[in-house]
Amino acid sequence: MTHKTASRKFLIPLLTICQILLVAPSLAQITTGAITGNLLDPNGSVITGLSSSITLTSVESGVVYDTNVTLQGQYSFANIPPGVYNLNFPVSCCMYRTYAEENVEILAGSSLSRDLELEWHINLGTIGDDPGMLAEDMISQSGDLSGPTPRMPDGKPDFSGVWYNVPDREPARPDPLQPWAAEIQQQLRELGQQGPASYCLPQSAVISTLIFPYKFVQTDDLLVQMIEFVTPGFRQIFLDGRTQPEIWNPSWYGFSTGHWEGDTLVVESTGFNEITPGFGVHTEALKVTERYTRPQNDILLIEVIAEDPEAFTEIWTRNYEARLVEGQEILEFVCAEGNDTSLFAQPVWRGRP
Amino acid sequence: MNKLSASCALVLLAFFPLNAISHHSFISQFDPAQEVVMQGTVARVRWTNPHAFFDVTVINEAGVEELWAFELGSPNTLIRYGWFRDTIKIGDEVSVDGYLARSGANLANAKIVTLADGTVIQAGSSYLEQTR
Repeated sequence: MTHKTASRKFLIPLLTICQILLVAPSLAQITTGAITGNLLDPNGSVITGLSSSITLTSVESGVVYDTNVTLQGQYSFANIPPGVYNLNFPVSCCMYRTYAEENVEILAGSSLSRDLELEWHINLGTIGDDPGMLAEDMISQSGDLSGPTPRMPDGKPDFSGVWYNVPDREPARPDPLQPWAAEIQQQLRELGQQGPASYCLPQSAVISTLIFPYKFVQTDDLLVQMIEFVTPGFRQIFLDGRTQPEIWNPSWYGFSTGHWEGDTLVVESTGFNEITPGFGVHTEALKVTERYTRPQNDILLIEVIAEDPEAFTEIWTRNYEARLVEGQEILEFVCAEGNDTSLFAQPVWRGRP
Repeated sequence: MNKLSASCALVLLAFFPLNAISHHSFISQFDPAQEVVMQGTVARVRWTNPHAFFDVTVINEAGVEELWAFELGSPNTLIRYGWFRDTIKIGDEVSVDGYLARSGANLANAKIVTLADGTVIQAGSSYLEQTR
């Protein structure tokens, strides 16, 4: 009896300790929640190949959790404190629209299953019409091309290669335009398809800002930029010390000269016409400075500074990052071949009224 | 004579807000509220930039042959995903899913193409899956 009592005396605390030890992990587990799901396109198919980041932002604290969507189109957050979150999945143009959902509630101890049904962006799911996806796919297919910066015989960086700009997943910034230019920009947006691209005309005064593939061919005194999907498909940057011409017929891409500042190639361009709205409505006063660096073999950094006191309210600075791709060439793109301009009855903008 | 009985089904979808953007945008030419699924025989392939087309002979509900054009993206992009100009070729029996042109022409974009052997080609998912 005594023995029995003594056993019980030790047994009860022992059981309590065991119980705590057993229950503690499960207590820890139920203090967090999870959310998981697939990316679905409007066809109802799982979207594969988008490897971008998805974020959960706590409405209460602002704390951001992020994870990468798998190439198989699945995402999963685990160990998320319970609460209300905003879910965001930014996608580059032009196949799918960025997915954003507010006030997603995550409960402790439960896993929320939530498929993200993305909407079509402006290409409406058309097969073969997504420059952002093309750029991401071509970059990812190239694999690891890292290595030291290639250099010319004189030691300057060599920018030669085929490049894709990394697609920008952030919303476009508002253009810092003067009122008259902003009004024209708005009219152009409302015209929609009636932009220069519809007529196979250049889509930007500064082609390095576009999402299309381009190739640099560099010599000691000339850098040639060949770009696909836009007309005329090439641009020359003179490295031979010449200056901007005093008399020049304004042109779509202007006149470009380059000089070196250490390992940075500084390209200055003037002599633009007023017609290309792709880099904001501008005037013939536009001056663009591009600063190119190649910190390693597979990365090209581009800083673009644009000034136009007649059209802009401030100097623009934008940064781009391009990635080297291998096993690819710039393909011929004769845009007029299949372009039916009769589809577009409205006149294209031809400069300031 | 086309043995394939053609069907032409309009599916009204939720209206998407339309953002007009001046860049070869399909959304300005095609109406996402009017989805169409058609079956028929490929009559012509136009392997041209900036967009490729293929024309399909379908038989409408009245039993009359109609020629419909389906628009793809650029051949340059299609090539990079492993397409050739004869990936879809004259005489192929296909089923095509797309959105009707706003103009009212016999034109739609091609967002899902099902070939006679059952192969499904679509952007972004199985389309990419095949070419990886």
